[in-house]
Amino acid sequence: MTHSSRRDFLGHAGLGLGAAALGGLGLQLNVASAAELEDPQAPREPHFPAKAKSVIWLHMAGAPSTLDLFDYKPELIRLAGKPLPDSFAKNLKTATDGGVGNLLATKRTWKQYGETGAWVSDFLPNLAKQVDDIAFLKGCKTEGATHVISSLKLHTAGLVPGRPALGSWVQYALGSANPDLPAFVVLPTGVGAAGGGRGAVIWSSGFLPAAYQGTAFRKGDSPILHLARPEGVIDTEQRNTLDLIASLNEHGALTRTGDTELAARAKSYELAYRMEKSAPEAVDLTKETAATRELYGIGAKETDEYGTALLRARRLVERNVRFIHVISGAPDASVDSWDAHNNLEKNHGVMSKSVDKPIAGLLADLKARGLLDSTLVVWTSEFGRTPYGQSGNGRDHNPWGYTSWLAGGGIKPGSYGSTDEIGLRAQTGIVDTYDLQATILHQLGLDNRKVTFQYQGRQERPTTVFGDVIKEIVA
Amino acid sequence: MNLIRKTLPLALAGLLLAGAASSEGIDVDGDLMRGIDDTAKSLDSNVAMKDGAAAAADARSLVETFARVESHYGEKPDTADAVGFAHRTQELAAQALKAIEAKDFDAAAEAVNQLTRSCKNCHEKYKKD
Repeated sequence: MTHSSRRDFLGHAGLGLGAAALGGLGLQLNVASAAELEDPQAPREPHFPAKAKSVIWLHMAGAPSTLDLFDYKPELIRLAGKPLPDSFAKNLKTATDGGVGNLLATKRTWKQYGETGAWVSDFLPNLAKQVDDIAFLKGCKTEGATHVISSLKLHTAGLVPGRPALGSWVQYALGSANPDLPAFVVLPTGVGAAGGGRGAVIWSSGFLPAAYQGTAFRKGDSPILHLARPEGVIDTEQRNTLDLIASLNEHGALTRTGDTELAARAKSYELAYRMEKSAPEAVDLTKETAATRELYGIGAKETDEYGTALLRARRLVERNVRFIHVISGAPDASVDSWDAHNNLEKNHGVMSKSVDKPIAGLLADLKARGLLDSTLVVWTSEFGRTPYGQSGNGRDHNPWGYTSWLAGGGIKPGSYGSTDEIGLRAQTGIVDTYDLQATILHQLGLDNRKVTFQYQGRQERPTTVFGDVIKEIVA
Repeated sequence: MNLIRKTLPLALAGLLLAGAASSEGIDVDGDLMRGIDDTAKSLDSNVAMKDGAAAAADARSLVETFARVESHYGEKPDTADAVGFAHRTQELAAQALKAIEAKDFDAAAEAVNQLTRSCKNCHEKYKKD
């Protein structure tokens, strides 16, 4: 098979994808021409000028207690040790093992920082210095009481698997700004996978064509498994092999029109071929200065892995990757994740230390390089944790009220919304996950109601029928 | 085909035949809310696809359902807010229906957007956590 026929096939494969995409595409997506859809990676215009070019989504898997990080509650301290008052417990459906414990006060020391006066506990001393670049959303709420369900809602706007992740919608709507790298990269960190809701289902393309799924990068110098050319195989041999595979796929595609899996695979071989050089270079930190590496906590046991992931994220932003999804994990076997049903002090001590310096370093580094204005950093989790205790010294899942934050990417720093006096439920400035998703899309120049894909006879949207942009935090 | 259109008449007919229809005429429970959710999503999709006939059927279904929900809460004490939410949502469904019949799908989309917000606002107050 010649290169020309291979290219023909890939063009046709793209056309198949394009046709599938066109079939499902809402009329309102601002696409200049059908030709752009022949390649799922082809850049597409936003609905309106974007404030952010890239998103770094910091998913705190397992759900930290924002009552011990950002949401200072003197009343909870005052009421510590007492049962949850009836006035707060009304209509509350809890699933805590062993019943709802007495109110549990934070043991941390709190201070207000920066010009915005944001409260931050001593779990996060480095991040506390960056608060003037952060918009805290203190009235977040969601649904579900399990990690898997709430994590699906956070990432896909659905309560069951099958919907596309937000990063997939972004890639679908905007294409890729770098043809040699995936537009949606996932950087999982940590040991184990405890806590649930952190697997591939949260970066799946769902019902969108398979080409839009997130690409998980591994740790180490070779970010994508089997990407490097095997030892003893020269470039020509590899090229010939790829051409043969393309030829076979072309043959198979003749009887499988509209098979987006096959078309995506054919495209992915070519992308992988290009990524043999681009991906290792993108994650090669040897060219970073010692000062930069230190800024992210690289080299220190507690922060090395997460810091490495965040420095990679910055390098991917510099290479115009649109959506980078960093999933937190335990830095060692002493804890599982942020999921502190017991011994919260120890758990959050370890987890906070692993992310505090790297995240502060990321914000400072992006700002120093002039990238923060065009990079939206999102810090969130599937839910928060309860003000009442569990197991004596832990906290249970709290979908009713917690804190998330955004920085950069055209976001106005400050504090928006609040929980009640003990931090149980969102009370003002209530932000559902749909609203957070709508706001992220808005900063990327996308109207969440105008990005549509037809699936099973319905026009589906990234945020379903919900989702309002949080205008109060848009600069 | 939405769930309410399929199940509501059957359910009501069954209750009437059995002579067991409640005075409220409708059970406002999880099943009904899931049906409303499905119909609202169907309406949203049909408006986006400019399928006037299907969208109008969904909108009519919601108008009828929310009229019953309003009536249900109207017979209960201390439910002024719920009556208000149901009335407002019924009005928005009617507004969407009017726009659909006029083939003004932009106006219909806005009405549906407001309708789903109204659903959320009501849930904030009444949906048990």
